Amino acid sequence: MTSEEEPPAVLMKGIVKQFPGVLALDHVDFEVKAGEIHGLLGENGAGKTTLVSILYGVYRADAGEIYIHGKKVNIKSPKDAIKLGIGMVPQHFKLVMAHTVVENVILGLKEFGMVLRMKEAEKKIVELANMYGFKINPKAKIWQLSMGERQYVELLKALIRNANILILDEPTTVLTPQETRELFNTLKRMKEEGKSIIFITHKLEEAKELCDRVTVLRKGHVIGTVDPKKVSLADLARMMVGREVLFRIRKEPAKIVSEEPVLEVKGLYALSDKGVMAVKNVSLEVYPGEVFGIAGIAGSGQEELAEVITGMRKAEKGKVIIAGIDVTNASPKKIFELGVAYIPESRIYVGTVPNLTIWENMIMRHHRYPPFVKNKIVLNLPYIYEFTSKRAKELNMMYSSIFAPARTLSGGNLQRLILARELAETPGRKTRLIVAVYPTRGLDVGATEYVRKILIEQRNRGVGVLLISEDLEEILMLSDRIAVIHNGEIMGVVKAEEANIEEIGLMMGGALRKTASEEVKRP
Amino acid sequence: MLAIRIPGTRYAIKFERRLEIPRMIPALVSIASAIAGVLLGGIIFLAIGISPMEAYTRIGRVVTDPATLGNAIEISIPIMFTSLALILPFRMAFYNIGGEGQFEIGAIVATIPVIWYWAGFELPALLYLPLMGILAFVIPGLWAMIPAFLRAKWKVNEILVTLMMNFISLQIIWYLVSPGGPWNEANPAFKERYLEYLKEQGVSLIPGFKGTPVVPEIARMPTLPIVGINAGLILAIIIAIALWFVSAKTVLGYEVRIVGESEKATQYAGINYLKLVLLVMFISGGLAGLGGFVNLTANSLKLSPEIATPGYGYTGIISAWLSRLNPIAAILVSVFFGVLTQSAYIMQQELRTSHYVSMGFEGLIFILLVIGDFFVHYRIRIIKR
Amino acid sequence: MNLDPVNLFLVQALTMGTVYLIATLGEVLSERAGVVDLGLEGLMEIGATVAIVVALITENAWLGILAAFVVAAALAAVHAFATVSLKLNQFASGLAIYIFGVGIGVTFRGYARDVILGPQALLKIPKIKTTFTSIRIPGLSDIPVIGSLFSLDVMVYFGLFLGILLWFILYRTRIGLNIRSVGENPAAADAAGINVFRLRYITTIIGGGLAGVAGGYLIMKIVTQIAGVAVILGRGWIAIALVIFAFWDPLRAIIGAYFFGALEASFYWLQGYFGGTAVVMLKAVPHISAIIILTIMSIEALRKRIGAPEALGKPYSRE
Repeated sequence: MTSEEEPPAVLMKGIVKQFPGVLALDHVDFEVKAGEIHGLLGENGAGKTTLVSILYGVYRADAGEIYIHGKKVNIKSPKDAIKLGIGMVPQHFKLVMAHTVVENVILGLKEFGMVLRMKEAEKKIVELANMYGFKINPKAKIWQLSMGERQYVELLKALIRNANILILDEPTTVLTPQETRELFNTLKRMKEEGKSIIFITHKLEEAKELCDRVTVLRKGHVIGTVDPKKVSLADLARMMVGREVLFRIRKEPAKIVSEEPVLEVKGLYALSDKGVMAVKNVSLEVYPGEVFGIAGIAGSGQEELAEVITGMRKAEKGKVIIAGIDVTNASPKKIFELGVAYIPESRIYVGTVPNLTIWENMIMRHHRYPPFVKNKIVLNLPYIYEFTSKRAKELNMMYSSIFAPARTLSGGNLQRLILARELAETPGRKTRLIVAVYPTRGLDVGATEYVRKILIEQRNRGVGVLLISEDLEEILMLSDRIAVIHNGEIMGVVKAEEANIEEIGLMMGGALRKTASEEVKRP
Repeated sequence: MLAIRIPGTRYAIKFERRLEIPRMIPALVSIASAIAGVLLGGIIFLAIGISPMEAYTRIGRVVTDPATLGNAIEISIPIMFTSLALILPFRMAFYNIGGEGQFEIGAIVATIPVIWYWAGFELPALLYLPLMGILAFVIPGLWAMIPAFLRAKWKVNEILVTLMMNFISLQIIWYLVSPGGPWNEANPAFKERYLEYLKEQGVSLIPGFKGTPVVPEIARMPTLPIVGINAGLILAIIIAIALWFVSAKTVLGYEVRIVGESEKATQYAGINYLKLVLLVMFISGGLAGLGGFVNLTANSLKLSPEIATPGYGYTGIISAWLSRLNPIAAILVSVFFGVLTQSAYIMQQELRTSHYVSMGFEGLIFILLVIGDFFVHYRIRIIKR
Repeated sequence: MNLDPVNLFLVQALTMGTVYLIATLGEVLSERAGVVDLGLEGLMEIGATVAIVVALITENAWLGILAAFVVAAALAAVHAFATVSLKLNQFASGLAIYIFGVGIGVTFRGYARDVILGPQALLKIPKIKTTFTSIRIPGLSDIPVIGSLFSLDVMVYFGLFLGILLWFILYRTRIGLNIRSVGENPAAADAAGINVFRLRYITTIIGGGLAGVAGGYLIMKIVTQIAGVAVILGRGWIAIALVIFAFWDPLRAIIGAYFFGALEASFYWLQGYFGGTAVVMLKAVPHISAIIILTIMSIEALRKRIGAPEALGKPYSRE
């Protein structure tokens, strides 16, 4: 490699980016040599996407400098970035489903005339594809293509605009192993042609296999830049996930109330909103009185899993059994009646309705049952108001009045509202299972502590808790058993006390899979 | 966030999305739109060669003279029904544009006992109004459930379906009352009794008239003493209060609110959309139908295509919107439109304008209201650049 | 010219169909970019008024058509402003324009007849009508039966031409690709550097103008009188439904529009032959068909793929 004399393709120095409440990038230095594949590794929220968004002109850095091929540049918008030869394949494709490949690739380009010279464009696309060793049918419609093929369309968009610095944001999340293989070959061909590639991922093995160098980000800092061939996967895992001193809540050992699991999931398959299989053959059991945590990078299928369990999403295959009753594809109402409390990922618009008042939100799901209603038709308002005030008090909610709209509540108080509602004991219904998805996301320290306290309290009372969180520390702190999900599959189930951070990191990154016999089946 | 630079200065007008909508704002915007509409309407009058002042004085006269005010309120009563009918569906984001058709179906079925009467088949006197009222609620209610079902089951666009059905119901009227049609007043089946009656009254059949025989006295809406307005007003007020109760205090009202806000929350809250929309539309169609019933038994007194001319169903849409889906406000706003319509009638007679004038006014107010809605959600701020 | 009934029927069908066609094509253009304009009926009514008034004053039907286009386009611009810039509810705005358009359109027409024009002006109506008499294409129009297809008036040929032109623009030109992309995925179009807002303004305004033209043609060719009554009578709404039946495709719109034109023509024909009042119900056939076809299309899984522009009805903002 003669890149020693050549200036790096990309040099970012001292990049700082602040968002309200969060310092996304803290004086980050990042360098990509010409003709190298450089991996950006890190968990969600580490700052990877923010960094490349600045490079691509979507955001502007608060401080720092960018040099492209040695020249200092000012990138104000994607147009500037494209002019500099930077192209991006985004994680969420910006494609028009109903149109063909050609139509998508040439959108916005003037080169092919007012009256479109489709044949010419098609030829060019096939040429580019051949150059880099992949196949594409220019006339195919996007909705007909597999995710891998759609990704090639995004790639073509960049290539036809003469990009020589390519950014790929988590490209393999939507690919099959086979497609991943093909993508890697294509990228290697591009490298040979002299293109520089920035490859964002959280999958350790891929980083090791594909990249010449890897920069690891954690919480907005660069932890280090290494040659992945010279380090172990475990090293990478450690850099990615960190080994902080873990503060474990002193909790009593789990008091398992019964031999029967409160939740059983058997061989579950479910599709994501995009039509990709997001949950693949997941089986697990949760027992009353334990916290069963599911760790994993956001987007590994855990959200869809929670939605199937609570009746909000269709199961394609498999079973969900709650308290011994088969509730596969049952309505959310039925599942609620069985004593399932759902703390959803989106507090706004699913968990609460922002424009409705606090009391209206507090009785959601309860609203059809006495004593909230009289004679099945009329709302028992006095009881409802009292109930709301009582529950709000019990969960230390800060609010102006029960008649204020829910959108006036802070995130922490919204979460308290949801908890207050879901965990309320009402005649005829006792909470048996809590499904909590990212329950402390976006909350301040106080609210976070509070929510965790509540979950443990419920667990001590014999409620089964299915906790889904991206915060590994939280999972380790609260769980009795931990499952790790990666790419829709459970990689392993371990006992929390014996959990090994590196192991978990490896499982989260897809690099380790436990055999069935190693799985901890019950707490 | 929109920002418009003021040329020549260092300032810009910025539009910020409001975080909280103060309670008075929607009402204020409504009032402002109405006033602006009336004022801008003055320009319309200029365009058709009438001095705005002439128009405004007539409007003023309507409000101040008890007789014309009474007429205005009479006219507003069907509007009250068609506005109230839309409150629940609009709240759940189901755009029932079929109020006009449901109104007409209500008038049609309410005419059935009238036809029986003139064909010689009499019912006990006290039965007429209640029977007509029930028919005028139930049948339009069922009629309105069709678009609800299509939307819930197959996501068929309810705006188009309800609109289409408006034209179908009008055609049904045409069929029934055209000369030679089964309900036309010249139909031999009515000869016996109706001609007798007309002779007594000293009138005769109008050749080529497209309409039914008149509604007999026993089937007419009674007039309230003192105010001299028909009893439909009482019914409308009762319904407004009932709607307020349903919205504020029942499970139905509550679920409607949730559905109108968020589709995901609807699912999460375990609400059955199909059942809800069918019920809401049944009520909606029924209320609009009652409007047709009141109009028939108090105002038009004959079923004919003329009942569609004022476009009560469409006025109801604007009225419902203007009253921000508040039933009590809807009563008042309906009176406002009644005044407008009455003024338009007077202008039609005295200044020779067409009755479409009120429609134009209403449309104008609606446009201003829709644009005014922008200010409900956005706040204006002047910033220095 | 002695046309036998079939010829007459064909001519009527195509003529009526042209009214539907021009309005529908305008709506196709607008909806392809993602903006629904429910005010079509109102725009047509206003177009009718403007067209005939200007035509009678200037004694030139084409000026009338032009004026109709301009005024309807201006009203559609209000709709564009409300929905694209202010990002307000497209359905509400369209409805408001419908009610306003019909109200003002008819009012002004009655006023114009009584006050502005005066009796002499009304005498010019037959002259206006002659602008739209059939153009006989020599040779072809003498063929029996289908010869009448070649003796139609200019507007019919224009409608056909417009349909083909729109098809060509949408599917074969860069602008057409931009329009379609804006309607499907405005975010993707924006990312590709296309000015979503400007494009939506243009399509909505032109679409509205075309609706005005359709109304003008209707009143000058078919109605041929000027009175203070509504003339569009639901055709604007059927045109909106036609856009859906045509799967937003201009060529299919041609077929659909002529089909509905035939439905209308068949009504007159049937009434001529059978008389009686039951025939009045036939007038409801277009509307009933519209509901049935709408339902079928909503059920079909087809709808997902050959369906509405994805972003139809949703305001776009860069947030």
